[in-house]
Amino acid sequence: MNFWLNILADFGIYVILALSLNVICGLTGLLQLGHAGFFAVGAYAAGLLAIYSYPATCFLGAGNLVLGCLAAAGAAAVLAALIGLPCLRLRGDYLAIASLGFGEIVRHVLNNVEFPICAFADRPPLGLAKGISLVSTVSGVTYVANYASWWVILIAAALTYLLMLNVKRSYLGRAMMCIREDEIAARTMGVNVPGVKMTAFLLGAVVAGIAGALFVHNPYSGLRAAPGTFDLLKTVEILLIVVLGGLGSMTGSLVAAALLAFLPQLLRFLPTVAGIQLAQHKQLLYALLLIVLIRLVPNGLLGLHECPAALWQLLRRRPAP
Amino acid sequence: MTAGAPILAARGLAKRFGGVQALDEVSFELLGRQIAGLIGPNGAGKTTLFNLVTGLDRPDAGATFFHGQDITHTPAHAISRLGLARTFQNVRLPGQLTVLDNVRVAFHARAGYGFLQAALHLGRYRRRERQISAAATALLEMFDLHGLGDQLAASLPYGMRRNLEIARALATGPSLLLLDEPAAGLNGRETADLAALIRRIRDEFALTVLLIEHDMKIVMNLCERVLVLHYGKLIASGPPGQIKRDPQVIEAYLGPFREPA
Repeated sequence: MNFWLNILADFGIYVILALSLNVICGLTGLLQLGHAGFFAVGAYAAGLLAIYSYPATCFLGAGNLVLGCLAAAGAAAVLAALIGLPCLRLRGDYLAIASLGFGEIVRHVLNNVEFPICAFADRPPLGLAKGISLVSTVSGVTYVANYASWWVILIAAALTYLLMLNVKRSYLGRAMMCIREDEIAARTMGVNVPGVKMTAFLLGAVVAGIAGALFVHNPYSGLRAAPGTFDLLKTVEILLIVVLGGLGSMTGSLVAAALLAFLPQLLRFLPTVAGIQLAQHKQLLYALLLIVLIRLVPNGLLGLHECPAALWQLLRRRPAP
Repeated sequence: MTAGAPILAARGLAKRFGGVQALDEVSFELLGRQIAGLIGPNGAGKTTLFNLVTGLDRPDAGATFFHGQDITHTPAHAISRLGLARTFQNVRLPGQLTVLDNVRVAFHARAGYGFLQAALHLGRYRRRERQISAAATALLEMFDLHGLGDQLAASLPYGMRRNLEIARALATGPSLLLLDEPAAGLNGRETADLAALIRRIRDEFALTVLLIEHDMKIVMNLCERVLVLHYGKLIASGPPGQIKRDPQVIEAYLGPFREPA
């Protein structure tokens, strides 16, 4: 049971990350390859806040998670503003390279910074490659701040989904999609292109930061955040969900995140066929399935839509013209 | 604004691209509620003039004024918000957006709600979205695009895309509309329809229209005033009847007159 709750929590985090990247890559069309960086910054901001505020904020209980989310959002926003100002002027591939660099810088910095020990973590090292842990090292592990249990994460994922849908269907979402398709048209329609790009970038970064806070407060992740978790592969995984679901489709991100969270686990239960233990080759099968999927639906599972076209027609039940 | 004050004024506009002087000391004024034509042989600088006026490009020298306000260095989106809209020669529509969304984008600056109201799905957001959708649908109807709101803009035939682009320009709430070759690729009947439509929107929306056109029939029938560009210089401006007889214009279009040998 615990195992599946773990997967469920994982799925929730993936949903939030994918939705946040979808605003930047899918809606606005900015190829951002440093998303794991914002995730990491959020996780560290929330984690360090919990560690250093101990035991002063213990009485807040689950309020610590809220504080952590706020700190994560703030840290991610400040960083996104600093990165966004110079980088968002770059086009296409150049932005991709600059943001990739940003993600790697974050990881390397975290890998090499040692934080001072405190009442919560009284033994070094705190930081470096081992990362930070919300399990206290003080005399026999008493304090564990596991507020982001699987259902909290799932609720956060659902709220993020609604938030992104609302944004997509607002003037901002339309402006973002217009920028993705044709910047010059957007400008002549009164869209402040750098402003809207920055809004998308900030929104994506802040939400990814909050995902980081949930991640570090999540008991299933071991309540720790280590630099190794936030490498380029993490960004690629998130991007994979966004592309597989359909660039710009929030529902697509939801579906694809479910697929990517549960599929590898389900493959473990494959039977033995003709003397071959299929479960042993799950990595191979997983990769193969992804290739087949993207070949079958090159625009992603849902393309640009929030709802498959056939279902949409059914739901609308339009009167015959 | 006093009656008769120019809506758009250009003073000594100049723009050079490498070795080509695209525009050279161009000055003119447009009065309110006029339909004016901008003509000239290919490469005369017509589209460049549109780009300078709408802020997509910056002049090397000179200035532009819109309702008396200097907009020479105003960003394109801000110029659009002041009420200057345009279409493009090679129709610029975000193809992967629906027809309805294409028009709704143009309400961007007048959305009337903020990010938080949208994020939290508050009443004002829902109300304003309903109003915007209704206004966009009304525009689509005016341009014979009703019932196509759910289609992707890229799926429309060329003539409809052109109409959609004009509808979108109107949705920004302009007082001056610049049309870049609106009749290109249309047949005789469609061109006549377009001329009627342009007159109609001028009257209904109280607009000033400046259009680039190669089709002399539409220019002479529709425009109350014609500006002629040739190699970046404004060589003539006046009512169509006068332009038709202007020796410089005839020379620009037909070449210098030579006595038969």
